Amino acid sequence: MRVAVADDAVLFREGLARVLSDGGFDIVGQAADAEELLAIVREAPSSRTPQVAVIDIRMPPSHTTEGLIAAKTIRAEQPRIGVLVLSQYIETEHAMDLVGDGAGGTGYLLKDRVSDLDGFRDAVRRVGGGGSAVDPEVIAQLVGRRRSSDPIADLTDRERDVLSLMAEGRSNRAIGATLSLSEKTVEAHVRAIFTKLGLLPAPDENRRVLAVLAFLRSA
Amino acid sequence: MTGGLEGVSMSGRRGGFAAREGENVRHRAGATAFAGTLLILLLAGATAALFTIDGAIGADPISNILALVAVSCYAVVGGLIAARLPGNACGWLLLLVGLGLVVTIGADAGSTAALRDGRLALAQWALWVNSWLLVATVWPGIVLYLLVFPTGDLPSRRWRPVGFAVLALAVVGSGARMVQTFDGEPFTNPLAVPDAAPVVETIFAVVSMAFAAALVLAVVSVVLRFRRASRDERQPLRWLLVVAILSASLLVVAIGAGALGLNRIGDPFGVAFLLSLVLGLPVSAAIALLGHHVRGIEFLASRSIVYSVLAAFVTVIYAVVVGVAGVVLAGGESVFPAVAATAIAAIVFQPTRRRAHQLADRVVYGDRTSPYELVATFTERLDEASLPEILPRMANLVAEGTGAQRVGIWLRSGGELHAVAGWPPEAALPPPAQLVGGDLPDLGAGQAFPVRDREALLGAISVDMPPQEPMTSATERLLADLCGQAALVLRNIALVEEVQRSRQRLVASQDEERRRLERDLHDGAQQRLVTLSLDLRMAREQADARGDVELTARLDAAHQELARSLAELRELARGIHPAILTQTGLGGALRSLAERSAVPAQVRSVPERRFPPEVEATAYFFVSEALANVAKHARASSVWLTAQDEGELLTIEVSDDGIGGAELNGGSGLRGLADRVEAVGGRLDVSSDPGAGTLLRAEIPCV
Repeated sequence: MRVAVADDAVLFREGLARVLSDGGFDIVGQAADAEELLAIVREAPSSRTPQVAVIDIRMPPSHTTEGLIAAKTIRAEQPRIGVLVLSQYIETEHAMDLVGDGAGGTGYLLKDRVSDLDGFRDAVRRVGGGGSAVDPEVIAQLVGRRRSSDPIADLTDRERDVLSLMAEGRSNRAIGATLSLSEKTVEAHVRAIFTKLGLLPAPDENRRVLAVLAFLRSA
Repeated sequence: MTGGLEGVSMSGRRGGFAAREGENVRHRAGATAFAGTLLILLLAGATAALFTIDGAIGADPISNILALVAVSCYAVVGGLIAARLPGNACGWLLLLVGLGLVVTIGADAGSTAALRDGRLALAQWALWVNSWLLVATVWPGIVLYLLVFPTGDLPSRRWRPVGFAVLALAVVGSGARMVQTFDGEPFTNPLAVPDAAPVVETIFAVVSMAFAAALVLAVVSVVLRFRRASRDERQPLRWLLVVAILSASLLVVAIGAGALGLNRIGDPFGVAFLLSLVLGLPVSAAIALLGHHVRGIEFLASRSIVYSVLAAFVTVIYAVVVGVAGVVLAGGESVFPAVAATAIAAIVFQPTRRRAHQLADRVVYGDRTSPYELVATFTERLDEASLPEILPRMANLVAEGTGAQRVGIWLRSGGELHAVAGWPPEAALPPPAQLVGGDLPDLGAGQAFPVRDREALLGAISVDMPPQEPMTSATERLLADLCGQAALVLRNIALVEEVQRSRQRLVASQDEERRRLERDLHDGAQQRLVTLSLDLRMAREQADARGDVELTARLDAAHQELARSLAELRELARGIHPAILTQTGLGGALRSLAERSAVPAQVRSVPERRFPPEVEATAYFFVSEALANVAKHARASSVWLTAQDEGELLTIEVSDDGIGGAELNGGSGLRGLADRVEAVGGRLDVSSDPGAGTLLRAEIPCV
């Protein structure tokens, strides 16, 4: 899978590139800011066009949300390219801004997650393949948010684990692998969760992530 | 005439007709009033001529001459008011009283003169007129005047029966007088009905008492009117009060001195009493209704009250002490009572004088502070005001003290004067004015007075006087005095503003410092540690691949330790300055805060636009601290967050359903919050009744 990485911190960017190339990714470009990244995406020959871009949210010149804006620009210009935004801080606001468009191919992770090498590579692969990757901390914050009437309190611990992984963008098989459950059992949990939360079970995984995120945010 | 007017109305606009008609009415009224005044003055002249005839002036020459002076006064004032305000009954009533008075006096003098000439019938009829005219004119005239002063209308519809009763009493009373036998005269009333004498006598006695009652009611109506009146409406009524107090005190002295046998003192005071009573009505009407601002009249009135009240007071003390001493010492001649009375009077003189001053000031100036009091208490009264109220209060005091229509308080800022407060408070402040050298520029007001500290110009007070009450030299002196006192206040305000500005600069630089610190952390330590964490993990993968279990475990432990450090560092950096605030502004940052709140927080509304950085930072830290406070102290189950963009003001409310009872200075950190908000020129309100939850409301200026 072809990847472009963008971060103004050279050491980290190099590390990132190594983690990915060690994991079998093809690094087609490295950028130090949003402009360079957009140039790579726009000007590369189609055989060298990245399938996914991993982007630091804070880059020059203003060090605020250049990466996020670049990610959205890429999504708007070339919807087939996945974008995975990394940040030192987790903000639900940014997560929803990016993942909330519903089309998949987006991800938002805490920068520290990169050091979970396999998990990170998996997330990049998911995003590159049109799926989603939402940082567990975003989900934890949403799940952990206390509500006045809380349907999440009705979930069993196991169901809550499944819900969190589901919201991160993981497939039933991945959830099963993480929790050492059979895919069938995961499916049963998912149905139970959707019923308890009053949501309709969705076969499309992107829609499923979105429905769960929307529920978590609104309730 | 009517035809002509109709012609105008057919061809002209309706407004033109109304104006023309109004002008005509005024014109005719003016002519009538002038004729009335002239007639009364002629009659007064004739009466004065009659007085020169031996004996015609009667037994009480002073009263009669005074009465003629009063008549002239009524005639002139009544005529002026009737011509100027033809729709107002006051002028016409004064004319009626003047006419009744002059004819009554004239008839009396005329009767004497006729008698001397041996013309008995004429003398008889003159006396007859004299006997009832007062009841027909002066009595009802004065009662009605008090009832309708100063508007010309009764205080309310409820007073109409009183008005009609007065008219009826005048008719019945004068009718009774017409057929009543003369008392103690050398000849009888030609129309007397001797058989009905007891009935007529009774009727007239009843009418007299009813008139006395009506007079009391009329005085009550004045008091009621005064209490109901607004500040502006009170002004004319004050002059009636001045007359009442003056007359009452003079009467006390006259009676007291008379009782003590001191006729040489009592008699002049008696005359003064009559003078103030009889002249008081027209003079007060002239000042009140004709609106002429007589220079120093207020001062004169207030001093008259002070001295007459003092005189009355001293008289009462003498009367009481001498009376008591007379009883106790049983008639023995002694200087003791006089000495004692003098001593007592001396002791209580000062406090009484102060009271008399206050009374006089209150009556004459009303809500308007007297200049004397204003200068004496100016800084004291400003001290009571909290800082933001000082300048408006100053404007208000100046307006009260001078009677100005508009007042502006100006503060110097560099080469400009800025209007910082004004009166009336609802009026818009004028734009800043450039200084010309060290002198006051044109401030667009009637007059402007510089406020200087030694030579340095600190500011100015500008004043617009109402057209009917132009600036007097006394007021100018007053304002110059006030400016001297204002210098201290303005200098303090300038200092406070400088402190406020430096506070604001401190906060802004502190915010900037925090932003810089967070960025340094982000780009430096955090970035390096994340990279390090990545390296550690890659090293671990290699160790794992080589099968070095021990090294793998150590690298795992190191990585976990590093992950914890990173998390801590992240929270620290967020506390120093949240990146999201710079990234998305207040809206996203407040939502983010709500999501992290320990107590479930609901965001009702947040503005999406960007504000100046120090406003955003203040608002953010305010909410952050407030939420922490709720978690720590409120025992709440929910907290609500509202931020509203009101153009020049950002209003933020944090409310909870907890135990309440929070106090600004109660040591719960609210003071620090208030300091932070005030540093950027905002304010913090706390409402937190026990058991009713807590509402924190911050207003932050954002221009």
